[in-house]
Amino acid sequence: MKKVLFKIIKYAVLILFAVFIVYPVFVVVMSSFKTTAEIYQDTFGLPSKLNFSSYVTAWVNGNLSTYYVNSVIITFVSIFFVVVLASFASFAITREDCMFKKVLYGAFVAGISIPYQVGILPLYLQMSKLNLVNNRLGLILIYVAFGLPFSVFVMSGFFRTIPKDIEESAIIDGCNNYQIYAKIVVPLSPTVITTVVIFELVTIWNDMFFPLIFISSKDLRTIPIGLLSFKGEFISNYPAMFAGVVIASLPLIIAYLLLQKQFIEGLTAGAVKG
Amino acid sequence: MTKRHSLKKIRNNLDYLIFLAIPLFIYIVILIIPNLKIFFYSTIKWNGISEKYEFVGLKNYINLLTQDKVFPLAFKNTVIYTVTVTIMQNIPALLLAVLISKQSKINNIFRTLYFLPAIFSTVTIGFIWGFIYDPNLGVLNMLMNALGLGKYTKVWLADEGVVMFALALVHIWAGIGNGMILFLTGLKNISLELYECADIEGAGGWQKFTRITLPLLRPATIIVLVLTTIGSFKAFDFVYVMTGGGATHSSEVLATLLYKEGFQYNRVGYSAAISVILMTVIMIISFIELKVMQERD
Repeated sequence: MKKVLFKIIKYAVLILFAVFIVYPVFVVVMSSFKTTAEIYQDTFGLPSKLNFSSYVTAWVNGNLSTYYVNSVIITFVSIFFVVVLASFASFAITREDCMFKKVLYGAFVAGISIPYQVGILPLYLQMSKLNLVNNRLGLILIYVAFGLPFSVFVMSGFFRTIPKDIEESAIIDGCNNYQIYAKIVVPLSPTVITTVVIFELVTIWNDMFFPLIFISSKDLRTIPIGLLSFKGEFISNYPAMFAGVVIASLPLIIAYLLLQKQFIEGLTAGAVKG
Repeated sequence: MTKRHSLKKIRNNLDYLIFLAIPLFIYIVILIIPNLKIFFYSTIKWNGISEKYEFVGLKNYINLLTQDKVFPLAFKNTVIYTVTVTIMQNIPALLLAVLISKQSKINNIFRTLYFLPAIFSTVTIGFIWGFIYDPNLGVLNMLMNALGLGKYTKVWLADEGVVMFALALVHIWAGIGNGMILFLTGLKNISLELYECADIEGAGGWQKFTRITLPLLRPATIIVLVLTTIGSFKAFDFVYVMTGGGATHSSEVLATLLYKEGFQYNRVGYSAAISVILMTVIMIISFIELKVMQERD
Protein backbone atom coordinates (compact mmCIF):
# COMPACT_ATOMS: atom_id res chain seq x y z
CA MET A 1 0.00 0.00 0.00
CA LYS A 2 2.71 2.44 1.04
CA LYS A 3 4.68 1.51 -2.06
CA VAL A 4 1.75 2.22 -4.37
CA LEU A 5 1.18 5.58 -2.73
CA PHE A 6 4.83 6.45 -3.13
CA LYS A 7 4.67 5.52 -6.81
CA ILE A 8 1.62 7.71 -7.36
CA ILE A 9 3.28 10.69 -5.69
CA LYS A 10 6.48 10.08 -7.62
CA TYR A 11 4.78 10.07 -11.00
CA ALA A 12 2.62 13.05 -10.07
CA VAL A 13 5.79 15.03 -9.31
CA LEU A 14 7.53 13.87 -12.49
CA ILE A 15 4.54 14.68 -14.69
CA LEU A 16 3.99 18.05 -13.05
CA PHE A 17 7.60 18.98 -13.76
CA ALA A 18 7.33 17.73 -17.31
CA VAL A 19 4.29 19.99 -17.80
CA PHE A 20 6.20 22.92 -16.29
CA ILE A 21 9.01 22.37 -18.80
CA VAL A 22 7.01 21.48 -21.90
CA TYR A 23 3.86 23.58 -21.60
CA PRO A 24 5.51 26.98 -22.25
CA VAL A 25 7.09 25.54 -25.40
CA PHE A 26 3.76 24.03 -26.46
CA VAL A 27 1.92 27.35 -26.03
CA VAL A 28 4.46 29.13 -28.19
CA VAL A 29 4.38 26.53 -30.96
CA MET A 30 0.57 26.58 -30.98
CA SER A 31 0.50 30.36 -31.03
CA SER A 32 2.74 30.46 -34.08
CA PHE A 33 -0.06 28.82 -36.08
CA LYS A 34 -2.73 31.24 -34.89
CA THR A 35 -3.74 34.61 -36.23
CA THR A 36 -3.16 37.61 -33.98
CA ALA A 37 -6.90 37.87 -33.43
CA GLU A 38 -7.07 34.26 -32.30
CA ILE A 39 -4.35 34.85 -29.72
CA TYR A 40 -6.23 37.77 -28.25
CA GLN A 41 -9.52 35.87 -28.19
CA ASP A 42 -8.28 32.56 -26.87
CA THR A 43 -4.72 32.24 -25.59
CA PHE A 44 -5.18 28.75 -24.17
CA GLY A 45 -7.00 27.16 -27.12
CA LEU A 46 -5.65 25.30 -30.10
CA PRO A 47 -5.47 27.14 -33.42
CA SER A 48 -8.60 26.78 -35.55
CA LYS A 49 -6.46 25.56 -38.44
CA LEU A 50 -2.74 25.20 -39.14
CA ASN A 51 -1.97 28.63 -40.49
CA PHE A 52 1.55 28.99 -41.91
CA SER A 53 1.28 32.63 -42.92
CA SER A 54 3.25 33.81 -39.87
CA TYR A 55 6.10 31.57 -40.95
CA VAL A 56 6.20 33.33 -44.30
CA THR A 57 6.09 36.69 -42.53
CA ALA A 58 8.99 35.76 -40.27
CA TRP A 59 11.07 34.20 -43.05
CA VAL A 60 10.53 36.87 -45.71
CA ASN A 61 9.46 40.14 -44.07
CA GLY A 62 11.36 39.40 -40.91
CA ASN A 63 14.54 38.75 -42.91
CA LEU A 64 15.06 35.45 -41.12
CA SER A 65 16.35 33.89 -44.34
CA THR A 66 19.35 36.23 -44.29
CA TYR A 67 19.96 35.66 -40.58
CA TYR A 68 19.84 31.93 -41.21
CA VAL A 69 22.57 32.04 -43.83
CA ASN A 70 24.73 34.15 -41.50
CA SER A 71 24.21 31.80 -38.58
CA VAL A 72 25.00 28.72 -40.66
CA ILE A 73 28.22 30.24 -42.05
CA ILE A 74 29.45 31.62 -38.73
CA THR A 75 28.54 28.55 -36.71
CA PHE A 76 30.08 25.98 -39.02
CA VAL A 77 33.25 27.86 -39.86
CA SER A 78 33.80 28.59 -36.16
CA ILE A 79 33.24 24.97 -35.16
CA PHE A 80 35.64 23.77 -37.84
CA PHE A 81 38.42 26.02 -36.59
CA VAL A 82 37.71 25.29 -32.92
CA VAL A 83 38.09 21.58 -33.58
CA VAL A 84 41.21 21.93 -35.72
CA LEU A 85 43.02 24.45 -33.53
CA ALA A 86 42.00 22.88 -30.22
CA SER A 87 43.21 19.49 -31.43
CA PHE A 88 46.52 21.04 -32.56
CA ALA A 89 47.05 22.65 -29.17
CA SER A 90 45.91 19.57 -27.25
CA PHE A 91 48.17 17.33 -29.31
CA ALA A 92 51.21 19.48 -28.55
CA ILE A 93 50.59 19.94 -24.83
CA THR A 94 49.91 16.25 -24.22
CA ARG A 95 53.23 15.09 -25.72
CA GLU A 96 55.58 14.01 -23.01
CA ASP A 97 58.61 15.96 -24.19
CA CYS A 98 56.72 19.20 -24.83
CA MET A 99 58.34 22.07 -22.96
CA PHE A 100 56.10 24.18 -20.69
CA LYS A 101 53.25 21.71 -21.24
CA LYS A 102 51.83 22.26 -17.74
CA VAL A 103 51.92 26.03 -17.99
CA LEU A 104 50.32 25.95 -21.43
CA TYR A 105 47.59 23.55 -20.32
CA GLY A 106 46.90 25.70 -17.27
CA ALA A 107 46.75 28.85 -19.37
CA PHE A 108 44.21 27.40 -21.79
CA VAL A 109 42.04 25.80 -19.13
CA ALA A 110 42.06 28.95 -16.97
CA GLY A 111 39.92 30.51 -19.69
CA ILE A 112 37.03 28.25 -18.72
CA SER A 113 36.35 30.23 -15.58
CA ILE A 114 36.54 33.70 -17.14
CA PRO A 115 33.01 35.05 -17.69
CA TYR A 116 32.82 36.34 -21.26
CA GLN A 117 31.18 39.59 -20.17
CA VAL A 118 34.15 40.70 -18.13
CA GLY A 119 36.68 41.64 -20.81
CA ILE A 120 34.13 42.65 -23.40
CA LEU A 121 34.89 46.37 -23.52
CA PRO A 122 38.67 46.11 -24.01
CA LEU A 123 37.97 43.36 -26.55
CA TYR A 124 35.58 45.61 -28.44
CA LEU A 125 38.02 48.53 -28.52
CA GLN A 126 40.80 46.22 -29.65
CA MET A 127 38.71 44.58 -32.38
CA SER A 128 37.57 47.93 -33.70
CA LYS A 129 41.21 49.02 -33.98
CA LEU A 130 41.82 45.90 -36.08
CA ASN A 131 38.75 46.68 -38.22
CA LEU A 132 37.13 43.44 -37.11
CA VAL A 133 33.93 44.94 -35.76
CA ASN A 134 30.72 44.37 -37.74
CA ASN A 135 32.54 41.70 -39.62
CA ARG A 136 31.97 37.94 -39.93
CA LEU A 137 35.65 37.10 -39.58
CA GLY A 138 35.84 39.06 -36.33
CA LEU A 139 32.92 37.17 -34.86
CA ILE A 140 34.39 33.84 -35.97
CA LEU A 141 37.75 34.66 -34.36
CA ILE A 142 35.97 35.46 -31.11
CA TYR A 143 34.03 32.20 -31.13
CA VAL A 144 37.21 30.25 -31.89
CA ALA A 145 39.10 31.92 -29.04
CA PHE A 146 36.28 31.44 -26.56
CA GLY A 147 35.79 27.86 -27.73
CA LEU A 148 39.41 26.88 -27.07
CA PRO A 149 39.50 26.57 -23.25
CA PHE A 150 36.73 24.00 -23.00
CA SER A 151 37.77 22.14 -26.14
CA VAL A 152 41.42 21.92 -25.10
CA PHE A 153 40.30 20.73 -21.68
CA VAL A 154 38.15 17.92 -23.11
CA MET A 155 40.47 16.96 -25.94
CA SER A 156 43.70 16.88 -24.00
CA GLY A 157 41.92 14.83 -21.36
CA PHE A 158 41.14 12.29 -24.04
CA PHE A 159 44.50 12.42 -25.84
CA ARG A 160 46.25 11.50 -22.56
CA THR A 161 44.33 8.22 -22.49
CA ILE A 162 45.66 7.07 -25.86
CA PRO A 163 48.13 4.22 -25.11
CA LYS A 164 51.73 5.24 -25.60
CA ASP A 165 52.63 1.91 -27.31
CA ILE A 166 50.57 2.84 -30.36
CA GLU A 167 52.55 6.04 -30.81
CA GLU A 168 55.88 4.38 -30.06
CA SER A 169 55.39 1.72 -32.68
CA ALA A 170 54.41 4.43 -35.14
CA ILE A 171 57.63 6.31 -34.36
CA ILE A 172 59.61 3.12 -34.97
CA ASP A 173 57.80 2.79 -38.30
CA GLY A 174 59.19 6.23 -39.11
CA CYS A 175 56.16 8.42 -38.48
CA ASN A 176 56.88 12.06 -37.71
CA ASN A 177 54.79 14.22 -35.37
CA TYR A 178 52.44 15.39 -38.11
CA GLN A 179 51.75 11.82 -39.16
CA ILE A 180 51.12 10.76 -35.57
CA TYR A 181 48.60 13.57 -35.26
CA ALA A 182 46.84 12.86 -38.54
CA LYS A 183 47.04 9.07 -38.71
CA ILE A 184 46.77 8.02 -35.08
CA VAL A 185 45.43 10.68 -32.72
CA VAL A 186 42.65 12.16 -34.89
CA PRO A 187 41.26 8.83 -36.14
CA LEU A 188 40.97 7.63 -32.52
CA SER A 189 39.04 10.72 -31.44
CA PRO A 190 35.56 10.78 -33.03
CA THR A 191 33.80 10.67 -29.63
CA VAL A 192 35.64 13.60 -28.14
CA ILE A 193 35.31 15.57 -31.39
CA THR A 194 31.55 14.94 -31.30
CA THR A 195 31.41 16.31 -27.76
CA VAL A 196 33.20 19.47 -28.82
CA VAL A 197 31.12 19.89 -31.99
CA ILE A 198 27.81 19.53 -30.14
CA PHE A 199 28.83 21.87 -27.36
CA GLU A 200 30.05 24.51 -29.78
CA LEU A 201 27.05 24.03 -32.08
CA VAL A 202 24.57 24.80 -29.32
CA THR A 203 26.72 27.58 -27.85
CA ILE A 204 27.43 29.45 -31.08
CA TRP A 205 24.08 28.88 -32.82
CA ASN A 206 22.27 30.24 -29.76
CA ASP A 207 24.67 33.00 -28.74
CA MET A 208 23.20 36.50 -28.60
CA PHE A 209 25.92 38.27 -26.61
CA PHE A 210 28.76 38.62 -29.10
CA PRO A 211 26.60 39.57 -32.11
CA LEU A 212 24.82 42.11 -29.89
CA ILE A 213 28.17 43.79 -29.24
CA PHE A 214 29.98 43.22 -32.51
CA ILE A 215 27.36 43.22 -35.29
CA SER A 216 25.58 46.43 -36.17
CA SER A 217 24.42 46.02 -39.77
CA LYS A 218 21.22 44.19 -40.48
CA ASP A 219 22.74 42.05 -43.25
CA LEU A 220 25.25 40.46 -40.88
CA ARG A 221 22.92 39.59 -38.02
CA THR A 222 22.77 36.01 -36.77
CA ILE A 223 19.46 34.38 -35.81
CA PRO A 224 19.31 35.20 -32.09
CA ILE A 225 20.06 38.85 -32.61
CA GLY A 226 17.74 38.94 -35.63
CA LEU A 227 14.98 37.46 -33.51
CA LEU A 228 15.62 40.09 -30.90
CA SER A 229 14.96 42.74 -33.54
CA PHE A 230 11.54 41.14 -34.14
CA LYS A 231 10.55 42.59 -30.79
CA GLY A 232 10.67 46.05 -32.31
CA GLU A 233 9.54 45.16 -35.81
CA PHE A 234 6.58 42.94 -34.96
CA ILE A 235 5.14 44.71 -31.96
CA SER A 236 2.20 42.66 -30.68
CA ASN A 237 2.44 40.36 -33.70
CA TYR A 238 3.08 37.39 -31.46
CA PRO A 239 2.46 34.73 -34.16
CA ALA A 240 5.28 36.10 -36.32
CA MET A 241 7.66 36.31 -33.36
CA PHE A 242 6.84 32.74 -32.39
CA ALA A 243 7.12 31.42 -35.93
CA GLY A 244 10.61 32.94 -35.86
CA VAL A 245 11.34 31.18 -32.59
CA VAL A 246 10.21 27.83 -34.02
CA ILE A 247 12.25 28.24 -37.21
CA ALA A 248 15.31 29.22 -35.17
CA SER A 249 15.04 26.30 -32.76
CA LEU A 250 13.91 23.54 -35.11
CA PRO A 251 17.33 22.31 -36.35
CA LEU A 252 18.63 21.85 -32.82
CA ILE A 253 15.39 20.23 -31.61
CA ILE A 254 15.57 17.65 -34.39
CA ALA A 255 19.26 17.03 -33.79
CA TYR A 256 18.62 16.72 -30.06
CA LEU A 257 15.85 14.16 -30.49
CA LEU A 258 18.01 12.10 -32.86
CA LEU A 259 21.21 12.26 -30.82
CA GLN A 260 19.94 12.66 -27.26
CA LYS A 261 22.76 10.77 -25.61
CA GLN A 262 25.50 12.70 -27.40
CA PHE A 263 23.74 16.03 -26.79
CA ILE A 264 23.28 15.47 -23.08
CA GLU A 265 26.86 14.25 -22.73
CA GLY A 266 28.28 17.08 -24.80
CA LEU A 267 26.32 19.79 -23.05
CA THR A 268 26.95 18.61 -19.52
CA ALA A 269 30.63 18.04 -20.22
CA GLY A 270 30.38 21.63 -21.31
CA ALA A 271 28.62 22.59 -18.11
CA VAL A 272 32.05 22.84 -16.60
CA LYS A 273 32.16 26.06 -18.54
CA GLY A 274 29.04 27.33 -16.83
CA MET B 1 73.13 9.33 -26.89
CA THR B 2 71.99 12.23 -24.66
CA LYS B 3 73.07 14.70 -27.29
CA ARG B 4 71.02 12.97 -29.94
CA HIS B 5 68.22 12.73 -27.42
CA SER B 6 68.16 16.46 -26.72
CA LEU B 7 68.49 17.23 -30.41
CA LYS B 8 65.38 15.16 -30.98
CA LYS B 9 63.62 17.00 -28.17
CA ILE B 10 64.42 20.34 -29.78
CA ARG B 11 63.20 19.11 -33.16
CA ASN B 12 59.99 17.81 -31.60
CA ASN B 13 59.42 21.06 -29.76
CA LEU B 14 59.77 22.99 -32.98
CA ASP B 15 56.94 20.84 -34.34
CA TYR B 16 54.87 21.52 -31.23
CA LEU B 17 55.47 25.22 -31.63
CA ILE B 18 53.97 25.01 -35.10
CA PHE B 19 50.95 23.18 -33.71
CA LEU B 20 50.55 25.73 -30.93
CA ALA B 21 51.29 28.96 -32.76
CA ILE B 22 47.86 29.82 -34.18
CA PRO B 23 45.61 28.67 -31.31
CA LEU B 24 47.86 30.29 -28.73
CA PHE B 25 48.02 33.56 -30.67
CA ILE B 26 44.24 33.81 -31.09
CA TYR B 27 43.68 32.85 -27.47
CA ILE B 28 46.12 35.41 -26.10
CA VAL B 29 44.95 38.28 -28.30
CA ILE B 30 41.20 37.74 -27.85
CA LEU B 31 40.88 36.29 -24.38
CA ILE B 32 43.93 36.96 -22.25
CA ILE B 33 44.90 40.51 -23.19
CA PRO B 34 41.40 42.08 -22.89
CA ASN B 35 40.87 40.40 -19.53
CA LEU B 36 44.15 41.81 -18.24
CA LYS B 37 43.41 45.25 -19.69
CA ILE B 38 40.31 45.73 -17.54
CA PHE B 39 42.50 46.16 -14.46
CA PHE B 40 44.25 49.11 -16.10
CA TYR B 41 41.02 50.49 -17.62
CA SER B 42 39.39 50.47 -14.21
CA THR B 43 41.87 53.10 -13.04
CA ILE B 44 41.25 55.63 -15.82
CA LYS B 45 38.56 58.01 -16.95
CA TRP B 46 37.97 57.62 -20.67
CA ASN B 47 35.12 57.71 -23.18
CA GLY B 48 36.68 55.03 -25.38
CA ILE B 49 36.83 57.31 -28.43
CA SER B 50 39.18 60.22 -27.79
CA GLU B 51 42.96 59.89 -27.80
CA LYS B 52 43.28 61.21 -24.28
CA TYR B 53 42.39 59.60 -21.02
CA GLU B 54 42.89 60.60 -17.43
CA PHE B 55 44.40 58.45 -14.71
CA VAL B 56 42.13 58.51 -11.67
CA GLY B 57 43.46 55.70 -9.48
CA LEU B 58 40.78 54.05 -7.39
CA LYS B 59 38.23 56.81 -7.95
CA ASN B 60 35.99 54.65 -10.15
CA TYR B 61 35.72 52.08 -7.40
CA ILE B 62 35.12 54.70 -4.73
CA ASN B 63 32.39 56.34 -6.79
CA LEU B 64 30.72 53.01 -7.45
CA LEU B 65 30.70 52.06 -3.80
CA THR B 66 29.85 55.39 -2.24
CA GLN B 67 28.05 57.64 -4.73
CA ASP B 68 26.47 55.58 -7.47
CA LYS B 69 22.74 54.97 -7.01
CA VAL B 70 22.39 52.12 -9.51
CA PHE B 71 25.40 49.99 -8.58
CA PRO B 72 24.16 48.97 -5.09
CA LEU B 73 20.76 48.17 -6.59
CA ALA B 74 22.33 46.07 -9.35
CA PHE B 75 24.48 44.30 -6.79
CA LYS B 76 21.49 43.57 -4.58
CA ASN B 77 19.45 42.33 -7.56
CA THR B 78 22.31 40.09 -8.65
CA VAL B 79 22.54 38.58 -5.17
CA ILE B 80 18.76 38.00 -5.00
CA TYR B 81 18.85 36.37 -8.43
CA THR B 82 21.84 34.19 -7.58
CA VAL B 83 20.50 32.97 -4.24
CA THR B 84 17.06 32.24 -5.71
CA VAL B 85 18.46 30.34 -8.67
CA THR B 86 21.00 28.39 -6.64
CA ILE B 87 18.45 27.16 -4.11
CA MET B 88 15.36 26.80 -6.27
CA GLN B 89 17.12 25.14 -9.17
CA ASN B 90 19.24 22.63 -7.33
CA ILE B 91 16.80 21.19 -4.82
CA PRO B 92 14.28 20.19 -7.53
CA ALA B 93 17.15 19.08 -9.78
CA LEU B 94 18.36 16.71 -7.06
CA LEU B 95 14.82 15.48 -6.41
CA LEU B 96 14.24 14.77 -10.09
CA ALA B 97 17.59 13.02 -10.41
CA VAL B 98 16.81 10.72 -7.49
CA LEU B 99 13.33 9.97 -8.84
CA ILE B 100 14.53 8.98 -12.31
CA SER B 101 17.90 7.47 -11.45
CA LYS B 102 16.85 3.93 -12.42
CA GLN B 103 17.45 3.05 -16.06
CA SER B 104 14.10 2.63 -17.78
CA LYS B 105 12.31 3.76 -20.92
CA ILE B 106 9.90 6.05 -19.10
CA ASN B 107 12.69 7.64 -17.04
CA ASN B 108 14.58 8.20 -20.23
CA ILE B 109 11.63 10.12 -21.66
CA PHE B 110 11.44 12.32 -18.56
CA ARG B 111 15.17 12.96 -18.76
CA THR B 112 14.87 14.01 -22.40
CA LEU B 113 12.01 16.40 -21.60
CA TYR B 114 13.66 18.02 -18.58
CA PHE B 115 16.84 18.65 -20.52
CA LEU B 116 15.07 20.14 -23.55
CA PRO B 117 15.41 23.86 -22.61
CA ALA B 118 19.21 23.50 -22.64
CA ILE B 119 19.20 23.54 -26.44
CA PHE B 120 17.18 26.77 -26.79
CA SER B 121 18.80 30.16 -27.21
CA THR B 122 18.34 32.66 -24.42
CA VAL B 123 16.43 34.88 -26.87
CA THR B 124 13.98 32.06 -27.60
CA ILE B 125 13.55 31.39 -23.89
CA GLY B 126 13.09 35.10 -23.22
CA PHE B 127 10.34 35.26 -25.87
CA ILE B 128 8.59 32.18 -24.51
CA TRP B 129 8.54 33.49 -20.95
CA GLY B 130 7.79 37.05 -21.99
CA PHE B 131 4.55 35.64 -23.38
CA ILE B 132 3.83 33.60 -20.25
CA TYR B 133 4.31 36.74 -18.13
CA ASP B 134 2.39 39.07 -20.48
CA PRO B 135 0.02 40.99 -18.19
CA ASN B 136 -2.95 40.81 -20.59
CA LEU B 137 -2.43 37.72 -22.74
CA GLY B 138 -0.08 35.79 -20.54
CA VAL B 139 -0.86 32.26 -19.53
CA LEU B 140 0.26 32.89 -15.95
CA ASN B 141 -2.25 35.62 -15.13
CA MET B 142 -5.00 33.75 -16.96
CA LEU B 143 -4.26 30.59 -15.04
CA MET B 144 -4.32 32.50 -11.78
CA ASN B 145 -7.63 34.10 -12.68
CA ALA B 146 -9.07 30.71 -13.53
CA LEU B 147 -7.92 29.36 -10.16
CA GLY B 148 -9.53 32.24 -8.30
CA LEU B 149 -6.20 33.87 -7.50
CA GLY B 150 -7.08 36.92 -9.59
CA LYS B 151 -6.10 39.42 -6.92
CA TYR B 152 -2.52 38.17 -6.96
CA THR B 153 -2.01 38.70 -10.69
CA LYS B 154 0.78 41.11 -11.55
CA VAL B 155 2.63 42.85 -14.30
CA TRP B 156 5.37 40.35 -13.53
CA LEU B 157 8.24 41.96 -15.40
CA ALA B 158 7.52 45.53 -14.33
CA ASP B 159 6.77 44.97 -10.67
CA GLU B 160 9.78 45.95 -8.56
CA GLY B 161 8.98 43.43 -5.87
CA VAL B 162 8.77 40.34 -8.06
CA VAL B 163 10.72 41.01 -11.25
CA MET B 164 13.97 39.44 -10.04
CA PHE B 165 12.14 36.31 -8.95
CA ALA B 166 10.23 36.18 -12.25
CA LEU B 167 13.55 36.35 -14.11
CA ALA B 168 15.14 33.78 -11.79
CA LEU B 169 12.31 31.37 -12.56
CA VAL B 170 13.20 31.60 -16.26
CA HIS B 171 16.84 30.83 -15.45
CA ILE B 172 15.70 27.86 -13.36
CA TRP B 173 13.43 26.58 -16.13
CA ALA B 174 16.34 26.69 -18.54
CA GLY B 175 18.95 25.19 -16.23
CA ILE B 176 17.18 22.55 -14.18
CA GLY B 177 17.87 19.77 -16.69
CA ASN B 178 21.57 20.49 -16.61
CA GLY B 179 21.73 20.26 -12.83
CA MET B 180 19.66 17.08 -12.91
CA ILE B 181 22.06 15.38 -15.33
CA LEU B 182 25.08 16.29 -13.20
CA PHE B 183 23.36 14.82 -10.13
CA LEU B 184 22.42 11.73 -12.16
CA THR B 185 26.06 11.20 -13.10
CA GLY B 186 26.95 11.45 -9.41
CA LEU B 187 24.23 8.95 -8.48
CA LYS B 188 25.51 6.46 -11.03
CA ASN B 189 28.83 6.34 -9.18
CA ILE B 190 27.23 5.24 -5.92
CA SER B 191 27.47 1.47 -5.57
CA LEU B 192 24.13 -0.33 -5.25
CA GLU B 193 25.61 -2.64 -2.62
CA LEU B 194 25.54 0.19 -0.09
CA TYR B 195 21.78 0.44 -0.47
CA GLU B 196 21.43 -3.33 -0.20
CA CYS B 197 23.42 -3.34 3.04
CA ALA B 198 21.23 -0.54 4.37
CA ASP B 199 18.15 -2.58 3.43
CA ILE B 200 19.45 -5.56 5.38
CA GLU B 201 20.02 -3.35 8.42
CA GLY B 202 16.48 -2.07 8.05
CA ALA B 203 17.16 1.54 7.07
CA GLY B 204 14.21 3.53 5.69
CA GLY B 205 14.14 5.50 2.45
CA TRP B 206 14.83 8.84 4.12
CA GLN B 207 17.70 7.41 6.13
CA LYS B 208 19.22 5.93 3.00
CA PHE B 209 18.93 9.31 1.31
CA THR B 210 20.56 11.32 4.11
CA ARG B 211 23.17 8.74 5.14
CA ILE B 212 24.24 7.34 1.78
CA THR B 213 23.02 9.41 -1.16
CA LEU B 214 23.74 12.93 0.09
CA PRO B 215 27.24 12.34 1.49
CA LEU B 216 28.35 10.39 -1.56
CA LEU B 217 26.91 13.04 -3.87
CA ARG B 218 29.26 15.66 -2.45
CA PRO B 219 31.54 15.91 -5.53
CA ALA B 220 28.56 16.35 -7.86
CA THR B 221 27.02 18.86 -5.46
CA ILE B 222 30.19 20.96 -5.42
CA ILE B 223 30.24 21.12 -9.21
CA VAL B 224 26.56 21.96 -9.47
CA LEU B 225 26.72 24.66 -6.78
CA VAL B 226 29.80 26.33 -8.24
CA LEU B 227 28.28 26.26 -11.72
CA THR B 228 24.89 27.68 -10.73
CA THR B 229 26.26 30.45 -8.54
CA ILE B 230 28.75 31.55 -11.18
CA GLY B 231 26.21 31.17 -13.98
CA SER B 232 23.58 33.25 -12.22
CA PHE B 233 25.94 35.84 -10.77
CA LYS B 234 27.18 36.78 -14.25
CA ALA B 235 23.68 36.53 -15.79
CA PHE B 236 23.08 38.89 -18.66
CA ASP B 237 20.94 37.35 -21.39
CA PHE B 238 17.53 36.80 -19.80
CA VAL B 239 17.60 40.19 -18.10
CA TYR B 240 18.65 41.94 -21.30
CA VAL B 241 16.06 40.16 -23.47
CA MET B 242 13.10 40.38 -21.10
CA THR B 243 13.42 43.66 -19.22
CA GLY B 244 16.61 45.33 -20.40
CA GLY B 245 17.31 45.99 -16.72
CA GLY B 246 14.17 48.13 -16.37
CA ALA B 247 11.78 49.48 -15.47
CA THR B 248 14.20 52.27 -14.46
CA HIS B 249 16.93 49.93 -13.26
CA SER B 250 14.60 47.89 -11.03
CA SER B 251 15.91 44.67 -12.60
CA GLU B 252 19.44 45.87 -13.32
CA VAL B 253 22.17 43.29 -12.62
CA LEU B 254 25.94 43.72 -12.66
CA ALA B 255 26.40 42.32 -16.18
CA THR B 256 23.73 44.56 -17.74
CA LEU B 257 25.09 47.55 -15.85
CA LEU B 258 28.65 47.02 -17.05
CA TYR B 259 27.31 46.66 -20.60
CA LYS B 260 25.36 49.92 -20.35
CA GLU B 261 28.20 51.86 -18.74
CA GLY B 262 30.60 50.68 -21.42
CA PHE B 263 28.52 50.69 -24.58
CA GLN B 264 25.71 53.19 -23.96
CA TYR B 265 27.11 55.77 -21.54
CA ASN B 266 30.70 55.44 -22.85
CA ARG B 267 32.27 55.34 -19.41
CA VAL B 268 35.09 52.89 -19.99
CA GLY B 269 36.74 53.15 -16.57
CA TYR B 270 33.49 52.77 -14.74
CA SER B 271 32.46 49.74 -16.76
CA ALA B 272 35.86 48.13 -16.24
CA ALA B 273 35.66 48.69 -12.49
CA ILE B 274 32.33 46.83 -12.45
CA SER B 275 33.97 44.04 -14.47
CA VAL B 276 36.76 43.72 -11.94
CA ILE B 277 34.27 43.62 -9.06
CA LEU B 278 32.15 41.02 -10.87
CA MET B 279 35.16 38.80 -11.54
CA THR B 280 36.47 39.18 -7.97
CA VAL B 281 33.14 38.24 -6.41
CA ILE B 282 32.82 35.21 -8.68
CA MET B 283 36.28 34.01 -7.70
CA ILE B 284 35.59 34.53 -4.00
CA ILE B 285 32.28 32.65 -4.17
CA SER B 286 33.69 29.66 -5.98
CA PHE B 287 36.72 29.57 -3.67
CA ILE B 288 34.51 29.59 -0.56
CA GLU B 289 32.18 26.95 -1.97
CA LEU B 290 35.06 24.64 -2.78
CA LYS B 291 36.65 25.16 0.66
CA VAL B 292 33.45 24.68 2.63
CA MET B 293 32.43 21.56 0.75
CA GLN B 294 35.90 20.04 1.12
CA GLU B 295 36.20 20.80 4.82
CA ARG B 296 32.96 19.08 5.62
CA ASP B 297 34.49 15.83 4.43
